[in-house]
Amino acid sequence: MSRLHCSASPPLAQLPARSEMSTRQRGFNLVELMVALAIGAILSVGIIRIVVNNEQVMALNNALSTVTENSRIAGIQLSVLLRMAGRSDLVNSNIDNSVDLSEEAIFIKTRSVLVPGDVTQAGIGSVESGGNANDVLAFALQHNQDCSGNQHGFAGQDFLVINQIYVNNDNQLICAGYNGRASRTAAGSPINTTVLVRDVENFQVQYLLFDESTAVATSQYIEADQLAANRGTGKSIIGVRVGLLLSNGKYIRMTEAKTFTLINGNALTTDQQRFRDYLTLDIGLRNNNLNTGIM
Amino acid sequence: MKTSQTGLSLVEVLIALFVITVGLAGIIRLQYVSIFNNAQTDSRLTSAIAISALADNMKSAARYQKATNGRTVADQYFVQNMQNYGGKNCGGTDNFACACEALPAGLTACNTQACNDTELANYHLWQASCAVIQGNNQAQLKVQCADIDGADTLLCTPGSKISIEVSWPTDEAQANNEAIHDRCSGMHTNSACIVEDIIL
Repeated sequence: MSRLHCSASPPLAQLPARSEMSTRQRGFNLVELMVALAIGAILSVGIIRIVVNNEQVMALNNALSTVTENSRIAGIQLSVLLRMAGRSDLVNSNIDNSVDLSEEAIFIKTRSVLVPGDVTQAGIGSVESGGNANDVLAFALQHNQDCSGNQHGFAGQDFLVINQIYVNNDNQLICAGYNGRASRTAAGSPINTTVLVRDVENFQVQYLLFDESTAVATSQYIEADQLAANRGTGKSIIGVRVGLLLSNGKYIRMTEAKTFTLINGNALTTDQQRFRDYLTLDIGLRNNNLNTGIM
Repeated sequence: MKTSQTGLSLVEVLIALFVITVGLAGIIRLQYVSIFNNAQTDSRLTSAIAISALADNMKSAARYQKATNGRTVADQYFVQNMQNYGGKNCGGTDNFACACEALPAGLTACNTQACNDTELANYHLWQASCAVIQGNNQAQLKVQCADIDGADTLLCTPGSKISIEVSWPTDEAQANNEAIHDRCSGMHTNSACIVEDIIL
């Protein structure tokens, strides 16, 4: 009662019409119902679209960031590993001296990028697989551990390390580490592998050959099968170019099948079931013959 | 029983609808912003990789200069119109399809034949600019040298600072929110960029 008195509502005497109406329960008429339905329909269509969209956006964002992340990791890992290729330091390093060190230094300098046959152990060496097939990249250096962290019993002292990078059947970019000194003998070295990056669908390698044996110095990108023929006075491998096709690794529907141009010039057409990105890494090999005078 | 059932009037429903629409628009905008930022990350990463690749290539291509007792690269690296897709004018539609799927005329394919230093420079610039637009069609590459000795014949005397810049147009709102690096040389109205300085 007090509320009624306090409020500035009209006197009770004027209300009969309204109280009469309130007892007669009146629903929406057809037009109102249609309007309400239409508004409801528009709203729910909007909401459903947003939910569906949200899911697609999330999947795409996930794929994009997975590939971005893998690109970063691949870039860092490969450049850190490859920059060391051809490292040989007999002066400042703590090196195991059970073999002829100067002979080993010359081996590293002239064979910083290895080809099959450079060591006795089978299966070691850079390979050009032809076409779109995955390549193999092998290089030698003086270090206290291979790329998998294995010290091969040298207890922290430097030795001849051989690292070989390839893609296995599960699309993983693998680095296999060898004790190069054992690989050069018939006994061979144990193999330790580590996964660098997952979901690598294509791996191509080319080598930048610098040739100053002619009057005008020239440069050319060559494949691994041309490496052996291009060793000699005035010739040096001064860089490596790596092409990686990375995918997000799980199903996502893409609107179109993309075609990528690999670094060897071949085209590779992919399906629409993954998000993919092609990454080209150029890594300079600073420990090349040019600075050492060894040819 | 005195219950006066009065529902919402149509005007009230419309107002509610308007409020909900504004909310939904916000959610859609959120999606747009998240995609945009992710794409921005992708542009940055692609550019960073392309820049470091070009920096490494320039280090590989640097030759010893007897006169100045240092290493420097061929002048061709600093020729502005070679810095994007081998100087090919693509009209800005799909630069990658236009200039990058095949080597443009006038360039030497250094992966099939031996190149001299000038040809190698053109090839490296073509490669770098194509790597850059793989992530963003409108991204542009710029290589500059702050020559420490203008008197000699070299465009980039050994010891000079070389700046490699990649810039791409960005959303206006985004450009206002984040401080644009003052080193972006403004190749676009609202550009984001990354710059790497190297000395050979």
